Amino acid sequence: MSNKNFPGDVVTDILARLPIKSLLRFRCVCKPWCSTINDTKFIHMHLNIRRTAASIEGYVIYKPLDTGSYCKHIFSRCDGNFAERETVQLPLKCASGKPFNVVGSCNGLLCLTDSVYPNFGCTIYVWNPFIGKFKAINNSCVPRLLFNRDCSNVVLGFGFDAQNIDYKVVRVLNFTDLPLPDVEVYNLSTDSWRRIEADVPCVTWTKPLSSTFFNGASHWIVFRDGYGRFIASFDFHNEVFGEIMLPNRFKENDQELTLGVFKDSLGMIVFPDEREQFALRFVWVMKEYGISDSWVNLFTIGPLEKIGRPLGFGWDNEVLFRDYEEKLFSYCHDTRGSRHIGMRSILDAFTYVESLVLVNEGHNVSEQAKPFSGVTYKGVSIFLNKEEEEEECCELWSNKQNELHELRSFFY
Amino acid sequence: MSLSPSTSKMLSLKSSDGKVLEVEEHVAVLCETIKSLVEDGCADSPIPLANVDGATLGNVMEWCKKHADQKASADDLEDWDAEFVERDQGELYHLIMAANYLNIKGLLDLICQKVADMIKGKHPEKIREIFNIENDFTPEQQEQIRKDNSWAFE
Repeated sequence: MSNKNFPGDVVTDILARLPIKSLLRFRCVCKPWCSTINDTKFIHMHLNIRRTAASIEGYVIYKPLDTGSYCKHIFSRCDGNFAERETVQLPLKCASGKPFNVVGSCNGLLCLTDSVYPNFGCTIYVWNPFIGKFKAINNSCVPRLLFNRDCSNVVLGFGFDAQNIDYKVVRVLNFTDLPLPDVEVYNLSTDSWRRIEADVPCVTWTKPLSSTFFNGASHWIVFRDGYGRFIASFDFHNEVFGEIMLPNRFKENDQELTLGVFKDSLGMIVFPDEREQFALRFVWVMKEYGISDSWVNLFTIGPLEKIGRPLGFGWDNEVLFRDYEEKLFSYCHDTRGSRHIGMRSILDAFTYVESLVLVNEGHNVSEQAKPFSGVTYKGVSIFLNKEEEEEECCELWSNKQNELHELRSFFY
Repeated sequence: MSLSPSTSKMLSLKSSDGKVLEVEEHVAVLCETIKSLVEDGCADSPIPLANVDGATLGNVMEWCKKHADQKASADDLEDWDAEFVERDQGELYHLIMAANYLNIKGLLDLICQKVADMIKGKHPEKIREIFNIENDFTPEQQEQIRKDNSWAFE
């Protein structure tokens, strides 16, 4: 092909079919190639083409390191066959072995928080385990979050606004002394929070608060006094909350429900009773999204010995469990076969796809930025010094002294 | 417009080096560029294709003929395509340019995938050679990119 020049769109078409490792290497071919590969539109074109063409799917398995390493929280990335590929480092400051929570995942990104129950001063991480890049989100545009410890409940959701090609985090803040919750939305493209006016369903959010991203929205199982359980949703494009009813038999709180995505539908795994080793597990899916009459019991798993607690849906129509020996267990609906994967001390498992998202804006996990907490309010940034947070020490950064006084009186 | 094989008439295509190829209309209209000419009624005289040489045009029409065949199964086409793209870099380059010019999405996808498979393991220097690209980075800039994702260079 020497001495020939390819049209730009043909080059883009070829690049969009390459594995990520090649693309990262080909960024140093020349400047035009580098900017093509870094382009957000290209990254999502690549994701869509590769998703249909090749096996870019894998699992992130969360388990403590066998070596008894100081850093406890380590994920292993496996290919679709659960062959352990490599150990990947979490972006969290996890030397103390602090627990964390997975808020949600989409397009190869996992959204994590550095505490199981996201609350005062917790840092949110958007992490691409495949390329080892992350973005730490510490601030808020709701000052009370950082200064009012009576914040009774923080709800988080993570998802993708496909129309605007942007990743968003939604945070619902319930304060004990305020009748209505505050809602703020973080955009990855602008790296900032903004408050939104949204009617939040009046519900009790069940913990721990992980969400399922499907059809452009986050989904949570919630509870309302006098009604029972249902699904609350947040649409990331229109930025509105919605409610989706569950089949009547699941309104009561007596069976554990794990939400997920199965065969391009919103689905759930029903877990009747933890104490019964041979109990059945049921998989339900909503055939038509948003139509509560379309829930069907797609299949039943079991009775199988030591099936354990459902972790979620895997690739290839598999359902993943953590069995009673804390090993990974998988049931495949297509073959009606089950298998013990056998990794020890599994805490959780998540699906991921190989994607380039965050290649530009992310930090390398190996060189972690120092976390801080802060708020931006009326153009003034306030940073809370986390190391000394017990003494409520804060640093105020602004030239506008009048604004600072107003803020001080607001907080104390 | 109905373009079934039984009623298909012949079209004349003229390559850049003056060769004229007679092709059945239902085969030639797999090229979107030719299809719009036919639909606009501008396809009577030999259609001049200034950007495609005779040998490449022959190869493109061979692909179109196979893919216009209603009887070919998906598996059959896949095997046939795999054999079709076993060519040297020069031929692939001409095919990709022709598929782009004639706007044949299926063929363009096929060759782009073939080129991607060919280049994926290669060193950036080799890529510059294949694509006739000049390195416009300074050594420092290049080192920075390398450092940013060192695992991809291992």
